[in-house]
Amino acid sequence: MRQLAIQLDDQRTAFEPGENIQATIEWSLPYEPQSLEFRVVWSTAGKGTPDVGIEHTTTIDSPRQQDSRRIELKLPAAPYSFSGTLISLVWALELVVLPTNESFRTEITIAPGAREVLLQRVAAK
Amino acid sequence: MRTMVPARKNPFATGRILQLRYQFRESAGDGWPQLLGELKLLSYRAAIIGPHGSGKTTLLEDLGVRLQRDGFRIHPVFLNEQNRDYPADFVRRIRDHLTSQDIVLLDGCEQLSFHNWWRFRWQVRRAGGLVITSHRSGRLPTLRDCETSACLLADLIDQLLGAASSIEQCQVEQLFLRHRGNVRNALRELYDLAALGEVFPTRNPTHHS
Repeated sequence: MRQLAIQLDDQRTAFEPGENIQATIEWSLPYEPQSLEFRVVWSTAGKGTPDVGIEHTTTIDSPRQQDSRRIELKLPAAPYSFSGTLISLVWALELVVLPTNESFRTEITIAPGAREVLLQRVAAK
Repeated sequence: MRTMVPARKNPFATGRILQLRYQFRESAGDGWPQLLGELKLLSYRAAIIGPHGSGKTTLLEDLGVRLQRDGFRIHPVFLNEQNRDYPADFVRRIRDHLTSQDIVLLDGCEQLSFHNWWRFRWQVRRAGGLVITSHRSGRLPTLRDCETSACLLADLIDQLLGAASSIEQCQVEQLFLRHRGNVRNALRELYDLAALGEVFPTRNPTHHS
C-alpha cells in the first residue's frame, strides 16, 4: 500500500503569520526511501509563469517503509497568502519522498486573521 | 454581477496550461510509438516546427521525458526573443562529455543566426541526437509540423475546465481565428474572461464533435 499524509492538529488550514503549528506526517511505502522531506513552500499562480520557494525543510534520513512523525515549527511571517485576479500567492505543506519525488501536498493560508488577503479591483476612472 | 475569480482558481492559470501535454492526432494514427520510431529513423536528428503557440515546446519537453525513459541523457537549452545569445556556457559545459547516449534538445533554434546554428551544430556533433524546435523547416529534417485547430483549442478548454465549457463552438472558432491559430494566446484571453467569471464549466456538452 502506498500512502503519504500530513495531518494538521485540529484540522486547521489557516494560520496567523509566525504561528507555531503542529502536525503529524505519515507514510506507508512499498520500499525503503532514501529520505523524506517535509517542506513549507510558497508558489504563485495566475497569468504569469509560476514561481516557487521553499521556506523550510525538515529531512528524515533513512526512514522506514512505514512510520509517522510529529512536526512542530514556526510558520513564516511573510509573505501573506493573497489573491487577486492576476496573481495568487499560495502556501502549502509538502511531504516528498526521495529519490522518487512522490509527494503529498496540502495548501494552507498564512495571513493576518488567518484569512487570505484579497486584492480588490480598482474601478477605472 | 458575476463574481471575480481569484488567480489560484482560474482554470486558465499558466500553471494549469503548462500541465497540458502534447495532443496527438490519434484519429490519424499518430502517437508516441510512431513519433519515436520516426525519430530513430532520422538518427535522432530532427526538427519540430510550427508557429507561435502551436505546442512545439510542449512536444519537445514530452519527448525529452520519453527519451530519458529510453535511457538517453537529455541536455535541454532554451532560447527565445528575450534570450537570444549563443548558449556558450551550455556548450562549454557539455561538449567534451557527449556520447551516443546524449541527446541535445534546442528549443527556439530560429533565434540562432545561420552562422551560430552551424557553430552550435558542430560543437554538439558528438551527441547521439539533436532535436530542435523552430518556426520554419530547413535546419534539420522535420519530425513534426505542429498544427493547431479550433477543435484542438476546444479540447484543451474542456481539459482545463474539467468538463464541457460554457463557450459555444462558434465562439471557440472566433477565438481561434482572432489569435491566428496561436493557442497559447487564445488561452490567455480566456484567462481574462474567466477572471471576470465569464467562462465556467457546464454539466451538458454544448458544442463540437
